[in-house]
Amino acid sequence: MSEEAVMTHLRLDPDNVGEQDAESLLEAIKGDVRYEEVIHGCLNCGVCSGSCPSHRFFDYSPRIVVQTVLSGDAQAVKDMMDEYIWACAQCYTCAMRCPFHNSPGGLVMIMREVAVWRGMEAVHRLLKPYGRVLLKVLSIGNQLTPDMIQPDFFPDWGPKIPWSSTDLAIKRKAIPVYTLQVTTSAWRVSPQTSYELYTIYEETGVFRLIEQIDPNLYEVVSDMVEDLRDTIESSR
Amino acid sequence: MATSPISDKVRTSGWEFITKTVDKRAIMKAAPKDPREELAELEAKGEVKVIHITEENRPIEVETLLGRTKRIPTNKLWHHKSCGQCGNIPGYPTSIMWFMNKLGLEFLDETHQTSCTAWNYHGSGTSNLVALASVAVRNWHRAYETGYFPLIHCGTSFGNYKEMRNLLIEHKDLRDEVRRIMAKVGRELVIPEEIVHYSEWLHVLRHQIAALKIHDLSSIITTVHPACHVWKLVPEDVIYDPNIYGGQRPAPTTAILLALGAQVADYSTWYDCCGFGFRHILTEREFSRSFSLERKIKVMVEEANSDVAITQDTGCTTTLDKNQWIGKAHGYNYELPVMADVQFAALAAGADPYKVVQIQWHTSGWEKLLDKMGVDWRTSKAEYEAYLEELKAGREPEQLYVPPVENLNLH
Amino acid sequence: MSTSVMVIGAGPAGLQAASTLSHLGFDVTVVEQQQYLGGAVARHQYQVLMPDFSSGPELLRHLIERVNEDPHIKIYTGTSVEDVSESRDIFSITLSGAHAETIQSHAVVLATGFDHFNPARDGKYGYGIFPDVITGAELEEMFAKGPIRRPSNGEVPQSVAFIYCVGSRDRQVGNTYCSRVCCAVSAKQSIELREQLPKARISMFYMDVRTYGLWEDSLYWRSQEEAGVVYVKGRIAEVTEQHGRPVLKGEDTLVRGPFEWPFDLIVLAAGMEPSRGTHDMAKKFQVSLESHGFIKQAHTIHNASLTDHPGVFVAGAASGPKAIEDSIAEGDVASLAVFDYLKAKVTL
Repeated sequence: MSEEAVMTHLRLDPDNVGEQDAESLLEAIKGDVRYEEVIHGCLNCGVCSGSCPSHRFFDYSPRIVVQTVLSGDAQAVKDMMDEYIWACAQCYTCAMRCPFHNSPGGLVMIMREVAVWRGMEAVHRLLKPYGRVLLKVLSIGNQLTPDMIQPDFFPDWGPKIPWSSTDLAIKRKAIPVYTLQVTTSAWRVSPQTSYELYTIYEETGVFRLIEQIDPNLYEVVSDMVEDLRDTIESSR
Repeated sequence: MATSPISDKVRTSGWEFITKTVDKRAIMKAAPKDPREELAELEAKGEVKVIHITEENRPIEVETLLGRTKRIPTNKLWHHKSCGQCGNIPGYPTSIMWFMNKLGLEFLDETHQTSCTAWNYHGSGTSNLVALASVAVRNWHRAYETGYFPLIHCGTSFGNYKEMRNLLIEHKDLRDEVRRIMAKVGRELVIPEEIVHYSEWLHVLRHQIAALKIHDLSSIITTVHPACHVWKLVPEDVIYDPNIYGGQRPAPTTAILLALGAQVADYSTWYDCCGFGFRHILTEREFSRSFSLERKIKVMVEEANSDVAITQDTGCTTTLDKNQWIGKAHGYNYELPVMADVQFAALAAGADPYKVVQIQWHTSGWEKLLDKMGVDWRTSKAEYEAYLEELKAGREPEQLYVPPVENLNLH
Repeated sequence: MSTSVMVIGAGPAGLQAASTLSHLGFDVTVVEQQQYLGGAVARHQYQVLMPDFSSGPELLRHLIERVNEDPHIKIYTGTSVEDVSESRDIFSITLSGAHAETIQSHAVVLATGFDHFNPARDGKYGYGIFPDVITGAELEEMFAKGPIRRPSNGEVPQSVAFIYCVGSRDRQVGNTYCSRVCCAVSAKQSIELREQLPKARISMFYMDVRTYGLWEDSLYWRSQEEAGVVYVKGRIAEVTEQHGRPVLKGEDTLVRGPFEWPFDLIVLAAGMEPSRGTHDMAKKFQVSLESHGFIKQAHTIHNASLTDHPGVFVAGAASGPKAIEDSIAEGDVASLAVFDYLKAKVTL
């Protein structure tokens, strides 16, 4: 493990997608400005894993994540980023209980971000079922919309789901709050708001990241972005 | 058996035990810095603008974990809505607005808001700190320019915004970067004096809300699912009250249920998450199902004999409600209604279960509960169905609230 | 003229200091806010002491008889220090309570001790919510007063769990230090429990077992070899209640992974914190506290009893967590330091 001070960063460069050397991944994790806050040391006491919902169901332990990162074994850390850390439910019970004030959940979040922004192989598989959410969040900033609740996607949610998706427009209209009387977004989002959101995504590398890791999705999104920009700019 | 969450239990053995006052202030000697004090310092230096809570917001003071004071604004609020709630549990925000109307409180619900995007971040990692902070500040600034104080409906937004506030206060380079991006969209860096969740608003107004109650809830056994991102993220900012679990567990939600006269039962997996897992609900559904059934619903029913699970956040309401039906395939025959504290309170105060509380979107059978509460949902259902027909025929919808025209900007 | 020294606090350290100071030729006033002498040993009625299983009441009898029979020692119980002023190395100390008077002292020994961490400050243990969750000090009181029973229903416990490091080594509650004695005291208690509960399951949940020096085999090993006590490495994440019994949730970090384990009785090895009296006296006598809130030793290695205020000395748990044996030793250390300090100034 390098003893040199790591340069801290606020975010990763999406143009470094593909840089997956184990040492550079560990360096990226340790360089995150939040790293110093999420990990201080470790007493190996087991409070985090004892509190952890995923520890009960998966081969996953926040204690092992912390210990592995602290060990400085870059290859072991990289192996974890492939699948292991994606079991975390991000509930932050570990962070609330850790006697060292570590945040194992926060550490996992940094590792996930690095895994995605470096385009690690497993990420493509992990993100696949996420496409619909990503499309919504990138285009309007909502993560869930009424029209996403469809029986095809949620057959396990039971016999009332078809009710929810039939005559949706009318049922949404029957919600007595004007902004909610829509189906393709969670509420009416003004075009100006989406326009501003696109600037944020552009300036923070999010669009560029999506372009690199999911070109098909990016194509759909960029069409929507262009249309909206044209509309807004021509109305000025 | 239902047990009282009030702490002054008499030890049955007759032993003389030490009793000392719990003073969480003793934790203060190693306490995290108070970001609000640092924010005030940055404001004094002209580094940031602060959205202040004013007289007009009619704040009520409460104590948080370490004995610090938090001011909860109750009036002139800007609704920072939740996409999970608006999309899937629409009676959640409508119940909040219904109470605000009932209490004569002023608010603004408009179209210039985005989600916090933190659910996606926790689930997929396809964002970053700068983007999250910029999204937060953009929403805060929008509230700021309207003159209304942001009230955060979603627990994940609430937790995430507290983290973003703290990180913005701590890191100048983050402030500079967010400021640069805000300039591009014609906005400024502003940070609210407090980050406030609707459950806190409900908590401080619980006695006024309880006074609106028209149904007797004394036979209703409730179980509370406290939401992880509401109380485990930035835990020192959470409201505690010595009368609720002896000040050892957060007060919001439990306190309003008690104020409404319902029973609140404890259960052995109270601390567990719901199984939502951010990505799990979409990509590891087996985990979400098993966890919510095995660790929450089953325990609430079997240990606590609960009539209803009461939530205070978005993902938990969905996870606990939607996963019960599939459990029948695995021999779990539970039918425990799930709803947010504010929906339960609205039912108790006589809100229309269909038109206002929108209970029809909830999948786990709530009919027995409503019967037990004395809510006439059958009439309400008939009226709602007739109303849907009228809407189909072109009738204009009824509104609890319509934003002023200048807050629409729709094409 | 006679040279007078005030000892504040009448626990083992203070009582030892009073007696030794008197032997060295000083007039001693012992000020104790409680109505009784003996400090924590008396308050919690320790019957059997760590490490040697000697008698607590006998130790108290020994310490108290010596000061009671000594004509050079005045004992002021039910008395508190109200106000302190200092002029030419003489402290003028105004007392309130049973002996409301002002006393001139040439030196002061602070033996103000510790308070147990109140576990209600850490919600995850359910202390004060679940009746069968008690502290180690409460277990000592049970030993003193009668048979061990479950507070919830009066039944004989069939299983007992000890939770280590409650309120110690934990930034979440503001105490980052080790309280030093709780591991060994819990081992002692488990051995005592075994005598009363021959069939009960007794389990210790620890992060490290710190039975220093000679306590290792005499307590830690013995508890396993003779008392059949089981040690599980894993800090308890939370305590809840199921069907009227407390349930421990945690990770067995070495062997079995996650567990949820019901017990009839839970004993919290609650750590030591500077007592309120320690804080009050530090303020009144203008001595500094170290970062954990105990009285700061000016020369930790050189002499355990020196504070950063000349004429004010410290003994016992007021300067940090320690065992009774060490507190009594420090009573002597402080007495000799007082002697050293005063011999240059006054003729004895």
